[in-house]
Amino acid sequence: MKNGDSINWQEGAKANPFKVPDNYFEDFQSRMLDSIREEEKKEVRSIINLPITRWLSGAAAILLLGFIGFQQLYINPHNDLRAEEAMYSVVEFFAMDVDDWTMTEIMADNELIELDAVDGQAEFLEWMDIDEYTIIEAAMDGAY
Amino acid sequence: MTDKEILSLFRQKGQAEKAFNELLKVYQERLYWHVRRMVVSHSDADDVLQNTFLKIWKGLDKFRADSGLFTWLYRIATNEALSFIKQRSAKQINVVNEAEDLVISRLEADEYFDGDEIQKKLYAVLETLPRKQKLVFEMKYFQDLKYQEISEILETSVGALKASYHHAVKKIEHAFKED
Repeated sequence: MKNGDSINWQEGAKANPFKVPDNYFEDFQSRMLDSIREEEKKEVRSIINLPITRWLSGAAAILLLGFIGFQQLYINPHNDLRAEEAMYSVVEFFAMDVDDWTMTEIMADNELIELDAVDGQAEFLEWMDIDEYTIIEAAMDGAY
Repeated sequence: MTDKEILSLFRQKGQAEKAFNELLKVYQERLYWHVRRMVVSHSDADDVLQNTFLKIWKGLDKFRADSGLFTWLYRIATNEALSFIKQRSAKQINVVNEAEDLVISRLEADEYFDGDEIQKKLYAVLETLPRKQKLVFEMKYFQDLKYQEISEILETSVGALKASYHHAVKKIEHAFKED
Protein backbone atom coordinates (compact mmCIF):
# COMPACT_ATOMS: atom_id res chain seq x y z
CA MET A 1 0.00 0.00 0.00
CA LYS A 2 1.38 3.36 -1.03
CA ASN A 3 -0.65 5.54 1.30
CA GLY A 4 -3.57 5.25 3.72
CA ASP A 5 -6.15 6.56 1.23
CA SER A 6 -5.62 4.13 -1.61
CA ILE A 7 -5.36 0.40 -1.92
CA ASN A 8 -3.39 0.17 -5.15
CA TRP A 9 -1.93 -3.10 -3.90
CA GLN A 10 -5.40 -4.44 -4.60
CA GLU A 11 -5.92 -2.72 -7.93
CA GLY A 12 -6.66 -6.15 -9.45
CA ALA A 13 -9.57 -6.63 -7.04
CA LYS A 14 -11.34 -3.67 -8.61
CA ALA A 15 -12.23 -5.68 -11.69
CA ASN A 16 -15.79 -6.90 -11.58
CA PRO A 17 -15.76 -10.61 -10.66
CA PHE A 18 -19.53 -10.98 -10.98
CA LYS A 19 -21.52 -12.12 -13.98
CA VAL A 20 -25.19 -12.10 -14.83
CA PRO A 21 -27.28 -14.66 -16.76
CA ASP A 22 -27.47 -14.14 -20.54
CA ASN A 23 -29.87 -11.36 -21.58
CA TYR A 24 -30.50 -10.57 -17.92
CA PHE A 25 -30.85 -6.81 -18.39
CA GLU A 26 -33.17 -7.12 -21.42
CA ASP A 27 -35.34 -9.59 -19.50
CA PHE A 28 -35.24 -7.47 -16.37
CA GLN A 29 -36.57 -4.48 -18.27
CA SER A 30 -39.58 -6.37 -19.61
CA ARG A 31 -40.17 -8.11 -16.25
CA MET A 32 -40.16 -4.72 -14.53
CA LEU A 33 -42.67 -3.29 -16.98
CA ASP A 34 -44.92 -6.32 -16.38
CA SER A 35 -44.53 -5.81 -12.63
CA ILE A 36 -45.57 -2.17 -12.72
CA ARG A 37 -48.60 -3.02 -14.90
CA GLU A 38 -49.56 -5.70 -12.35
CA GLU A 39 -48.96 -3.21 -9.56
CA GLU A 40 -51.30 -0.72 -11.23
CA LYS A 41 -54.02 -3.39 -11.44
CA LYS A 42 -53.46 -4.26 -7.77
CA GLU A 43 -53.84 -0.60 -6.82
CA VAL A 44 -57.15 -0.36 -8.69
CA ARG A 45 -58.33 -3.59 -7.03
CA SER A 46 -57.25 -2.38 -3.60
CA ILE A 47 -59.16 0.90 -4.07
CA ILE A 48 -62.26 -1.09 -5.07
CA ASN A 49 -61.84 -3.36 -2.04
CA LEU A 50 -61.44 -0.55 0.48
CA PRO A 51 -64.25 -0.67 3.11
CA ILE A 52 -65.10 2.99 2.41
CA THR A 53 -65.42 2.22 -1.32
CA ARG A 54 -67.73 -0.69 -0.59
CA TRP A 55 -69.89 1.51 1.65
CA LEU A 56 -69.96 4.28 -0.96
CA SER A 57 -70.88 1.93 -3.79
CA GLY A 58 -73.62 0.39 -1.60
CA ALA A 59 -75.00 3.83 -0.82
CA ALA A 60 -74.82 4.80 -4.50
CA ALA A 61 -76.73 1.64 -5.48
CA ILE A 62 -79.47 2.43 -2.92
CA LEU A 63 -79.73 6.01 -4.19
CA LEU A 64 -79.94 4.79 -7.78
CA LEU A 65 -82.69 2.29 -6.93
CA GLY A 66 -84.55 5.03 -5.03
CA PHE A 67 -84.29 7.38 -7.99
CA ILE A 68 -85.55 4.72 -10.42
CA GLY A 69 -88.48 3.92 -8.09
CA PHE A 70 -89.33 7.61 -7.74
CA GLN A 71 -89.18 8.04 -11.49
CA GLN A 72 -91.49 5.06 -12.02
CA LEU A 73 -94.04 6.39 -9.52
CA TYR A 74 -94.05 10.12 -10.21
CA ILE A 75 -92.29 10.95 -13.43
CA ASN A 76 -93.29 8.16 -15.80
CA PRO A 77 -95.96 9.55 -18.26
CA HIS A 78 -97.91 6.25 -18.15
CA ASN A 79 -98.41 6.75 -14.43
CA ASP A 80 -99.75 10.27 -15.06
CA LEU A 81 -102.45 8.81 -17.32
CA ARG A 82 -103.30 6.13 -14.77
CA ALA A 83 -103.57 8.75 -12.01
CA GLU A 84 -105.83 10.90 -14.21
CA GLU A 85 -108.12 7.95 -14.99
CA ALA A 86 -108.38 7.14 -11.29
CA MET A 87 -109.30 10.74 -10.50
CA TYR A 88 -112.07 10.76 -13.14
CA SER A 89 -113.62 7.56 -11.79
CA VAL A 90 -113.69 9.05 -8.25
CA VAL A 91 -115.29 12.26 -9.58
CA GLU A 92 -117.85 10.28 -11.56
CA PHE A 93 -118.73 8.25 -8.46
CA PHE A 94 -119.42 11.39 -6.36
CA ALA A 95 -120.96 13.29 -9.26
CA MET A 96 -123.83 10.81 -9.58
CA ASP A 97 -125.77 12.67 -6.83
CA VAL A 98 -124.92 16.15 -8.07
CA ASP A 99 -127.34 17.97 -10.38
CA ASP A 100 -126.09 19.75 -13.48
CA TRP A 101 -126.35 23.26 -11.98
CA THR A 102 -124.24 22.33 -8.92
CA MET A 103 -121.79 20.55 -11.17
CA THR A 104 -121.52 23.69 -13.32
CA GLU A 105 -120.89 25.79 -10.21
CA ILE A 106 -118.25 23.37 -8.93
CA MET A 107 -116.56 23.41 -12.30
CA ALA A 108 -116.70 27.20 -12.42
CA ASP A 109 -115.33 27.46 -8.84
CA ASN A 110 -112.46 25.24 -9.82
CA GLU A 111 -111.91 27.22 -12.98
CA LEU A 112 -112.59 24.17 -15.12
CA ILE A 113 -115.01 26.29 -17.21
CA GLU A 114 -115.23 30.04 -17.75
CA LEU A 115 -117.22 31.57 -14.89
CA ASP A 116 -118.63 34.36 -17.09
CA ALA A 117 -120.38 31.83 -19.29
CA VAL A 118 -122.74 30.85 -16.45
CA ASP A 119 -122.71 34.10 -14.52
CA GLY A 120 -124.58 36.09 -17.10
CA GLN A 121 -128.04 34.60 -16.50
CA ALA A 122 -129.72 36.63 -19.24
CA GLU A 123 -127.35 35.30 -21.90
CA PHE A 124 -127.78 31.80 -20.52
CA LEU A 125 -131.61 31.98 -20.67
CA GLU A 126 -131.45 33.50 -24.10
CA TRP A 127 -129.16 30.70 -25.20
CA MET A 128 -131.66 28.17 -23.75
CA ASP A 129 -134.47 30.00 -25.73
CA ILE A 130 -136.52 30.63 -22.54
CA ASP A 131 -138.48 33.87 -22.32
CA GLU A 132 -139.45 35.68 -19.07
CA TYR A 133 -143.06 34.48 -19.28
CA THR A 134 -142.04 30.84 -19.29
CA ILE A 135 -139.81 31.50 -16.25
CA ILE A 136 -142.66 33.09 -14.26
CA GLU A 137 -144.96 30.23 -15.24
CA ALA A 138 -142.38 27.66 -14.25
CA ALA A 139 -141.80 29.42 -10.90
CA MET A 140 -145.46 29.35 -10.14
CA ASP A 141 -145.56 25.64 -11.00
CA GLY A 142 -142.47 25.09 -8.74
CA ALA A 143 -140.38 23.64 -11.58
CA TYR A 144 -137.31 25.77 -10.72
CA MET B 1 -32.19 10.43 -22.76
CA THR B 2 -31.21 12.82 -19.95
CA ASP B 3 -32.70 12.81 -16.44
CA LYS B 4 -34.56 16.02 -17.25
CA GLU B 5 -36.08 14.55 -20.41
CA ILE B 6 -37.12 11.39 -18.56
CA LEU B 7 -38.83 13.40 -15.84
CA SER B 8 -40.52 15.66 -18.36
CA LEU B 9 -41.79 12.64 -20.32
CA PHE B 10 -43.04 11.02 -17.11
CA ARG B 11 -45.19 14.08 -16.34
CA GLN B 12 -46.87 14.02 -19.75
CA LYS B 13 -50.28 12.35 -19.76
CA GLY B 14 -50.12 8.68 -20.79
CA GLN B 15 -46.31 8.69 -21.08
CA ALA B 16 -45.37 7.43 -17.60
CA GLU B 17 -44.63 3.88 -18.68
CA LYS B 18 -42.54 5.02 -21.64
CA ALA B 19 -40.55 7.33 -19.35
CA PHE B 20 -40.05 4.54 -16.84
CA ASN B 21 -38.78 2.30 -19.61
CA GLU B 22 -36.22 4.98 -20.51
CA LEU B 23 -35.21 5.27 -16.86
CA LEU B 24 -34.71 1.50 -16.72
CA LYS B 25 -32.50 1.63 -19.80
CA VAL B 26 -30.28 4.32 -18.28
CA TYR B 27 -30.05 3.14 -14.68
CA GLN B 28 -30.79 -0.57 -14.34
CA GLU B 29 -27.20 -1.73 -14.90
CA ARG B 30 -25.60 0.88 -12.67
CA LEU B 31 -28.03 0.18 -9.85
CA TYR B 32 -27.71 -3.56 -10.34
CA TRP B 33 -23.91 -3.51 -9.88
CA HIS B 34 -24.21 -1.20 -6.90
CA VAL B 35 -26.67 -3.60 -5.26
CA ARG B 36 -24.84 -6.73 -6.39
CA ARG B 37 -21.58 -5.70 -4.72
CA MET B 38 -23.47 -5.09 -1.52
CA VAL B 39 -25.53 -8.28 -1.39
CA VAL B 40 -23.09 -10.44 -3.44
CA SER B 41 -25.47 -13.11 -4.78
CA HIS B 42 -27.20 -12.56 -8.13
CA SER B 43 -30.63 -13.78 -7.04
CA ASP B 44 -30.56 -11.51 -3.98
CA ALA B 45 -29.46 -8.58 -6.15
CA ASP B 46 -32.31 -9.33 -8.55
CA ASP B 47 -34.88 -9.27 -5.72
CA VAL B 48 -33.47 -6.05 -4.27
CA LEU B 49 -33.36 -4.40 -7.68
CA GLN B 50 -36.99 -5.28 -8.40
CA ASN B 51 -38.10 -3.80 -5.08
CA THR B 52 -35.98 -0.76 -5.79
CA PHE B 53 -37.59 -0.08 -9.15
CA LEU B 54 -41.08 -0.69 -7.78
CA LYS B 55 -40.41 1.98 -5.15
CA ILE B 56 -39.01 4.27 -7.83
CA TRP B 57 -42.16 3.77 -9.94
CA LYS B 58 -44.43 4.52 -6.99
CA GLY B 59 -42.43 7.55 -5.87
CA LEU B 60 -41.47 9.12 -9.19
CA ASP B 61 -44.56 11.36 -9.43
CA LYS B 62 -43.67 12.79 -6.00
CA PHE B 63 -40.03 13.38 -6.92
CA ARG B 64 -39.52 17.15 -6.82
CA ALA B 65 -35.90 17.29 -8.02
CA ASP B 66 -34.59 18.77 -4.75
CA SER B 67 -31.74 16.33 -5.33
CA GLY B 68 -30.57 14.90 -8.66
CA LEU B 69 -32.45 11.91 -10.06
CA PHE B 70 -29.24 9.85 -9.89
CA THR B 71 -28.84 10.65 -6.16
CA TRP B 72 -32.45 9.80 -5.42
CA LEU B 73 -32.29 6.48 -7.28
CA TYR B 74 -29.04 5.49 -5.56
CA ARG B 75 -30.52 6.37 -2.18
CA ILE B 76 -33.52 4.09 -2.76
CA ALA B 77 -31.31 1.25 -4.02
CA THR B 78 -28.92 1.66 -1.09
CA ASN B 79 -31.71 1.64 1.49
CA GLU B 80 -33.27 -1.43 -0.10
CA ALA B 81 -29.94 -3.25 -0.10
CA LEU B 82 -29.23 -2.26 3.50
CA SER B 83 -32.66 -3.47 4.64
CA PHE B 84 -32.05 -6.73 2.85
CA ILE B 85 -28.59 -7.17 4.45
CA LYS B 86 -30.02 -6.34 7.87
CA GLN B 87 -32.73 -8.99 7.51
CA ARG B 88 -30.24 -11.52 6.21
CA SER B 89 -27.63 -10.88 8.90
CA ALA B 90 -30.29 -11.23 11.61
CA LYS B 91 -30.60 -14.85 10.50
CA GLN B 92 -26.84 -15.46 10.35
CA ILE B 93 -24.02 -15.92 12.85
CA ASN B 94 -22.05 -12.75 13.47
CA VAL B 95 -18.73 -14.24 14.46
CA VAL B 96 -16.12 -12.64 12.14
CA ASN B 97 -14.34 -15.78 10.93
CA GLU B 98 -17.58 -17.65 10.35
CA ALA B 99 -18.99 -14.70 8.40
CA GLU B 100 -15.91 -14.70 6.16
CA ASP B 101 -16.14 -18.44 5.58
CA LEU B 102 -19.82 -18.14 4.83
CA VAL B 103 -19.21 -15.51 2.13
CA ILE B 104 -16.37 -17.50 0.58
CA SER B 105 -18.48 -20.67 0.39
CA ARG B 106 -21.39 -18.67 -1.00
CA LEU B 107 -19.16 -17.13 -3.68
CA GLU B 108 -17.65 -20.49 -4.59
CA ALA B 109 -21.15 -21.91 -5.04
CA ASP B 110 -22.31 -18.93 -7.07
CA GLU B 111 -22.27 -19.75 -10.79
CA TYR B 112 -22.29 -16.02 -11.53
CA PHE B 113 -19.06 -15.31 -9.65
CA ASP B 114 -15.82 -15.53 -11.57
CA GLY B 115 -13.33 -13.90 -9.20
CA ASP B 116 -9.88 -14.98 -8.10
CA GLU B 117 -8.70 -15.76 -4.56
CA ILE B 118 -7.90 -12.12 -3.78
CA GLN B 119 -11.35 -11.02 -4.83
CA LYS B 120 -12.98 -13.78 -2.78
CA LYS B 121 -10.95 -12.68 0.22
CA LEU B 122 -11.81 -9.00 -0.35
CA TYR B 123 -15.57 -9.68 -0.51
CA ALA B 124 -15.34 -11.92 2.50
CA VAL B 125 -13.57 -9.22 4.54
CA LEU B 126 -16.09 -6.62 3.37
CA GLU B 127 -18.84 -8.80 4.83
CA THR B 128 -17.27 -8.39 8.28
CA LEU B 129 -17.19 -4.57 8.14
CA PRO B 130 -19.86 -2.42 9.76
CA ARG B 131 -22.57 -1.70 7.17
CA LYS B 132 -21.74 1.99 6.78
CA GLN B 133 -18.03 1.32 6.24
CA LYS B 134 -18.79 -1.42 3.73
CA LEU B 135 -21.15 0.86 1.85
CA VAL B 136 -18.75 3.79 1.70
CA PHE B 137 -15.91 1.53 0.62
CA GLU B 138 -18.06 -0.03 -2.10
CA MET B 139 -19.14 3.35 -3.49
CA LYS B 140 -15.69 4.90 -3.32
CA TYR B 141 -13.45 2.02 -4.30
CA PHE B 142 -15.56 0.11 -6.83
CA GLN B 143 -17.74 2.83 -8.27
CA ASP B 144 -15.28 5.73 -8.03
CA LEU B 145 -18.00 8.04 -6.79
CA LYS B 146 -16.86 11.38 -5.41
CA TYR B 147 -17.18 11.99 -1.67
CA GLN B 148 -19.62 14.80 -2.45
CA GLU B 149 -21.87 12.43 -4.43
CA ILE B 150 -21.73 9.78 -1.69
CA SER B 151 -22.49 12.49 0.84
CA GLU B 152 -25.68 13.44 -1.04
CA ILE B 153 -26.79 9.83 -1.45
CA LEU B 154 -26.15 8.78 2.14
CA GLU B 155 -26.92 12.21 3.63
CA THR B 156 -23.70 12.10 5.65
CA SER B 157 -20.94 14.70 5.91
CA VAL B 158 -17.89 14.34 3.69
CA GLY B 159 -15.66 14.25 6.80
CA ALA B 160 -17.55 11.30 8.26
CA LEU B 161 -17.38 9.49 4.90
CA LYS B 162 -13.61 9.98 4.69
CA ALA B 163 -13.25 8.57 8.19
CA SER B 164 -15.44 5.55 7.32
CA TYR B 165 -13.43 4.86 4.18
CA HIS B 166 -10.15 5.19 6.03
CA HIS B 167 -11.28 2.70 8.71
CA ALA B 168 -12.52 0.27 6.07
CA VAL B 169 -9.19 0.37 4.21
CA LYS B 170 -7.26 -0.18 7.44
CA LYS B 171 -9.36 -3.23 8.34
CA ILE B 172 -9.03 -4.74 4.85
CA GLU B 173 -5.26 -4.12 4.93
CA HIS B 174 -5.05 -5.77 8.31
CA ALA B 175 -7.05 -8.80 7.14
CA PHE B 176 -4.76 -9.30 4.15
CA LYS B 177 -1.61 -8.96 6.30
CA GLU B 178 -2.90 -11.70 8.59
CA ASP B 179 -3.05 -14.22 5.71
